[in-house]
Amino acid sequence: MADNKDTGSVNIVRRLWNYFTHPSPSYSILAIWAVGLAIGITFWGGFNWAVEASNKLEFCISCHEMENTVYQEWQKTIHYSNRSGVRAICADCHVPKDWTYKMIRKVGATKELYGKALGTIDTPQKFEAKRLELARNEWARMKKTDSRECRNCHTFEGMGYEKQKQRAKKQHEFAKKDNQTCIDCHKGIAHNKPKGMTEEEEIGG
Amino acid sequence: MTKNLITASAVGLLLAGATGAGLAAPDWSKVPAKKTTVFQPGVASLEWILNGSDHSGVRGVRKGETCNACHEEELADIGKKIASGEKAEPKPVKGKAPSIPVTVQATHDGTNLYLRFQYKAPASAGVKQDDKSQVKLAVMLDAGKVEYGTIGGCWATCHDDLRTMPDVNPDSPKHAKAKELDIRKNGPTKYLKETRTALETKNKPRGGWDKLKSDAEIQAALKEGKFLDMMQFRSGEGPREGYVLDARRLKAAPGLAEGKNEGGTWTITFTRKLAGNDPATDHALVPGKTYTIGFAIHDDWANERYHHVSLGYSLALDNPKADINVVKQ
Repeated sequence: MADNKDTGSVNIVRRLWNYFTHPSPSYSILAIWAVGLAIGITFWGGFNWAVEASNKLEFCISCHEMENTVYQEWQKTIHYSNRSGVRAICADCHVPKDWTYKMIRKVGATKELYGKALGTIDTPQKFEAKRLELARNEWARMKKTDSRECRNCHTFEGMGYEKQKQRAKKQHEFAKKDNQTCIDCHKGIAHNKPKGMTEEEEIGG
Repeated sequence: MTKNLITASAVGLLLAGATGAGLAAPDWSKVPAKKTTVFQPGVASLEWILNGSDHSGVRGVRKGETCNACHEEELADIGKKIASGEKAEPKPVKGKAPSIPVTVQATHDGTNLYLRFQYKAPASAGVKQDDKSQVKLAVMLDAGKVEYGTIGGCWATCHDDLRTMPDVNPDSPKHAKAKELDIRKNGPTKYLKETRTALETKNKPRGGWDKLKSDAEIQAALKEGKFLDMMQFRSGEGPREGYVLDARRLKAAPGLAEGKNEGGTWTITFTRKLAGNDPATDHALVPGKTYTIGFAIHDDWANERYHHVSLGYSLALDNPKADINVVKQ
């Protein structure tokens, strides 16, 4: 009896294996391929849709941790409102455009779900207490990539130095000569600067 | 105009007697005019400038760039930020002009330097801090030997621990050298980094008023020309001249400066020998050499830090490349 049971299980596995590895007697190869393609497109499209949905401003501020703090601060900066109407939203600065780096960033961002569950920054007081640490993480990421997300829009080569204010022009000359990157000097350009920054952090030394 | 000529003639006669040379009033219409702006500096001292948390432009300072290189075109804007209390001014005086446009001219006759400042007096804030002089105008000259003289002009002398500044030590009037260093009941006057063993720029209290070098070292600095030559016009008292080294050291200097207010415009003129009225404490102005000049106006009965200051400008005899070209006539 025990032998019959074992044989029955092996048969089920074998039939399943055959079902997936042999052409179906009932469906054509083309039909199977078409269904597979449709399922593939649906899943791939769905995945990318989900990724892009998580890049939307509405998604970012769906958590009050973001909406009540950095979102409010951003609305007072030039990256929100300016003469030409170009607006940089959260993902423009904080999520890489290149697919591979974007996926790495998204996987890294899953840590934020853990923080959300624990309520790490769920009050303004907790947020302020962590602001310097969080900012330093982001500055380090930007520094490591030579401010890649800033450079999606801004380049030294594209700058009209003659149109810049005297001070900005001079600082950009120094930055270019010293191989500095955008985030070295432009900390706090879209959000409040954290308290407790070192002097070298302030000047990008 | 008649009064002007009479006064100028009187000054001329006085100086002619001292130098043996004739002195005619300069023809200012032949002298190039440098138009600039003086602005409220608030509590932005030398330490403020050297601290990256206060002043991100310290990178430029470390590279030897002058204040002008970054700020010349935004002086009025800086004044607005400070006067409103947005930056570097914890106690703004309501109604006080953020900045004042000033015209500067300089000429010489081979013997004397003539320096003229003109500005339209801004509206009064109605606050009388100095009960003697409605207007004071101070000029400082560096001969290129003071560490921050060329970069910052007057800022080389301004510190966080001076009177009315944020880190003034209330015990400073008890210092053993209080009288000698012109430390009055409310704190010390200007000094140079060269006279202190250390200058704190990061942690409070910032500055170095009590970290004096030895008398011998300070005298050596004076002999080496490491001081700022200073002249001052005071509308309610006589002019004064002297220098800034370990402290601001001024003495009465009759005939050095005159000023008048005509139709709301102040015209203030300084006359001194090119070689210096006192060669030990004045920088001799010689052809081929470039100096740095900075000036400050205490307008509207202002006192101490509530003045309007200029950045440092280059000054040279008969040199069109200088910001202020002292032309001969």
